[in-house]
Amino acid sequence: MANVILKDVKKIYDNHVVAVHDFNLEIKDKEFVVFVGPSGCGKSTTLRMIAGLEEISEGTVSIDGEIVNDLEPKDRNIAMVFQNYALYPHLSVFENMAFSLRLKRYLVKEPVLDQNGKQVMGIDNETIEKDKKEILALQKRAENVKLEEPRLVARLEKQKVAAIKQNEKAKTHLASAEAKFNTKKAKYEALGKPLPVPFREENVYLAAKKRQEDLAYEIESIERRLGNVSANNQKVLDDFDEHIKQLEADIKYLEVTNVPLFKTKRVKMPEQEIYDRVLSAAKTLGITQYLLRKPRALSGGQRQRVAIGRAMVRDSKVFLMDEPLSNLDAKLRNQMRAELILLRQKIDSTFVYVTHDQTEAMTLGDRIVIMKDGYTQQVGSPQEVFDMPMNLFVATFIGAPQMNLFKAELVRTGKEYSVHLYGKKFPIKGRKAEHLLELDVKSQPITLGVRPEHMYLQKEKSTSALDLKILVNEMMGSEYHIHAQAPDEKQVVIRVPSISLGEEADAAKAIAPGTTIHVSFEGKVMHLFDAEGYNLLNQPEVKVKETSIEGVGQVEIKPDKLGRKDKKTKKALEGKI
Amino acid sequence: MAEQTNVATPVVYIPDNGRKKGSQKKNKRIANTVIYIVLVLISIIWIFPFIFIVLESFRVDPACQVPNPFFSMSGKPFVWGFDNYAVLFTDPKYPFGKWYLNTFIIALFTAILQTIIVLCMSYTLSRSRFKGRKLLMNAMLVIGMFPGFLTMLVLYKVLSSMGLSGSNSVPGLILVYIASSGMGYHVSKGFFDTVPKALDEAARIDGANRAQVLYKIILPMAKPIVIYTVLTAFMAPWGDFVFASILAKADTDGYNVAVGLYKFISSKTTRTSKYTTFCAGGVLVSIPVSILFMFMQKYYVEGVTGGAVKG
Repeated sequence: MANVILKDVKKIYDNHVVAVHDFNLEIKDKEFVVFVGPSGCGKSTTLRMIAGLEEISEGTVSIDGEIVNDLEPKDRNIAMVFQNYALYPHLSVFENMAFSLRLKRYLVKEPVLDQNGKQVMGIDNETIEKDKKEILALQKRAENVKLEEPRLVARLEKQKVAAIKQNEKAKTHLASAEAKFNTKKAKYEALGKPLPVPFREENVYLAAKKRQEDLAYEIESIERRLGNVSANNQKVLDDFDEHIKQLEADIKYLEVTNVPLFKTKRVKMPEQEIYDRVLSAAKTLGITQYLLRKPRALSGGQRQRVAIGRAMVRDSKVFLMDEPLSNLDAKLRNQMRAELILLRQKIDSTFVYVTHDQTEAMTLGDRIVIMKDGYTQQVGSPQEVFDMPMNLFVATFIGAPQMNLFKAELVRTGKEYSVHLYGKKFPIKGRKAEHLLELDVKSQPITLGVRPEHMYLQKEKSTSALDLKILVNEMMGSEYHIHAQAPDEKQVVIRVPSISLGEEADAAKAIAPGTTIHVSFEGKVMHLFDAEGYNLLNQPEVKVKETSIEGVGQVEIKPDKLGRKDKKTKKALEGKI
Repeated sequence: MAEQTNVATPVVYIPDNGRKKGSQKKNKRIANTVIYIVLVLISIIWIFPFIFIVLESFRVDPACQVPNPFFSMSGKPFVWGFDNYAVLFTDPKYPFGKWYLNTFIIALFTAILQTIIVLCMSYTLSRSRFKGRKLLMNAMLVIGMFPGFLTMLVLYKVLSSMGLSGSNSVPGLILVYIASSGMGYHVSKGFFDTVPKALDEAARIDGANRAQVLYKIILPMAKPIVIYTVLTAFMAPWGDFVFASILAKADTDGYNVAVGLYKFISSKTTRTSKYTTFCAGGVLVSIPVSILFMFMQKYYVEGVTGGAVKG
């Protein structure tokens, strides 16, 4: 029933940690969007900003065309399902579901009737008064916007000065950290010793680097906002003017015209209506027999249904779900996932769904937003992100078991492309080769990604098949996950359907640990990533900063102070660990 | 062979449970016996003064020199009756009824106002994050360490200049008791902290404002803690002596029961002649508190948080 637009949304916590960087997304009406990413990537924060539970540091969120930044959660007309259900434990299931209906007041327009029961016609003073009040309010808001402009500019200037100052500091800190790192590194290299893990100086240096980069980015974004202030304000003022003009015209018309009269009343929802709504939601979810129970007498799945029901009764514009299935056990989760898909067809509302589980994201979403460290990595349909991951992070995050990555060489000879890996040659043909030609990709070192399910076993050794040594095989029922080792000790996972290996005894023999297998794959399933980790064929418009797979630049954690016993243990273990 | 002698036999550690294994049932029985003997002894010591006072209050023998319900020094047998209670409400020199009413009014108002203040305070400190929150909490902790008596003289000056001392000391005492009550937020804040924040958020999305969240969601769940707060808020002024005596001075109209009862035994002459009356007053004072506790103690045990979050 509504679209949600997030524009340059940013979340900065009080301790200056930036949880979400410039998040831009337009969620269409009745779309099911899933935010997915590892823990701490800002997906829940973004959802909570839409809900109004978290303040929006910068940017705007609008629901159904209205900017909701300053609205209370209750005024945004949204419904939310929480990870831990958040059912009110002292209320029965019915009361839990009816809670919002009982709280809310509704406006009802009743016709004004004369003695004969006919509607009275006349000058509608009520509406005129209302419109006049609205005009006054709009004028006041416009004034405020005008007054606010220099203040906003001043504030931004101040922020900018502070950021620049901090940036200078960060730069000097970075320089000293880098120098320290280099001297320490040189020292180790001179001694011929391996670098220690963790390498404290390196961590400090990386953290300082990240901080400096963040600050530079911050300054840039402040400058951009400074440039936009007056234009944005003018747009808002124009909108107000137009609205006022329209209202004035309305008043002029109403002052001279007889219209059927209504009076508005602010009422509670009648009990009967509440019963009907709760009952119909309960019927949809199959929880009618539990309506009079307390939440504690319900199982996890039933509680989750109640939580969804509580959101359903309200006819909300937007449905927000914050990891609703992650507290359920695996079997129930699969069942509820299927039910959610069915439910979604019945409810017909806009959905925003947060999860860390890529399977949920793939099965539920119309579109998936993959996030990491507060940056959006890729937005697209499940098929798109699976087939064309923009960077290494998306490639490894989507799909299970995760994609195998190899350091390889892309070689172009004339108009032919091939990938060289461990001395073998894998030619690229067809659509993919054309695409590479179109983009005029040169020969270069690449990271090659192949999904485990796209690899297959070959009987014979050949020039286009890797020779791998099996380490372990996992029997999954319908398929085997074979963990094998490449010549450079890199682990590779291959998914092989059990049926393709023949009889059980043969299969066991064919993939026994220690045997060498010959693994091949087609050119069309290869994912090619450049040195920076971006897909050669699907480069993002704006390259987000953070694309590494390992968490780099983590803030150094101070070691705990050792207790008496720990000191003794340390002494005893000295030289042994 | 020679090499073998150099190698020490590795030490093997066998877990030893220390003592002979008796049957679990027997051990438990012995432990229980010991525990119950100790408990019975403690309860006899604890309950003795109460029985003593109750018995004394029914004794009609004011001449007895030694307060002792069991033995008569004069050799005469005791006479039992309600005379002491009758004296309490008839003697114009000791308006016990007035004191009782005073105390009840003070305790009732304090209980209501203090509960409201404490709960609001705890909810705020538990749920809102504002500048100076930590500082405020620390400051209150430090200030709370000073005994309240330190401010007694100042408070007396202030209140008496406002005309709230002497016979008017009832509103003055209410003010004194509720003035710093917000500082007693610790217990209820601790309880509110255990209520998941997701409940607040769910309620806010469902259309409740902060106040509605507090009294529609949190308070019904925190019933035990509300009752605890009411009880403590009622108890403190009910038995308070120091402030009440300072504020009321010699004006018996402004006394509360504790100060009034002390008047029975404060002088040498009355100490013996009014001793049994004093005991009767003590019994009357303990009745409402006992009743309160009898009805409310079950809420102490009741835990209502179960089922809020998956469990």
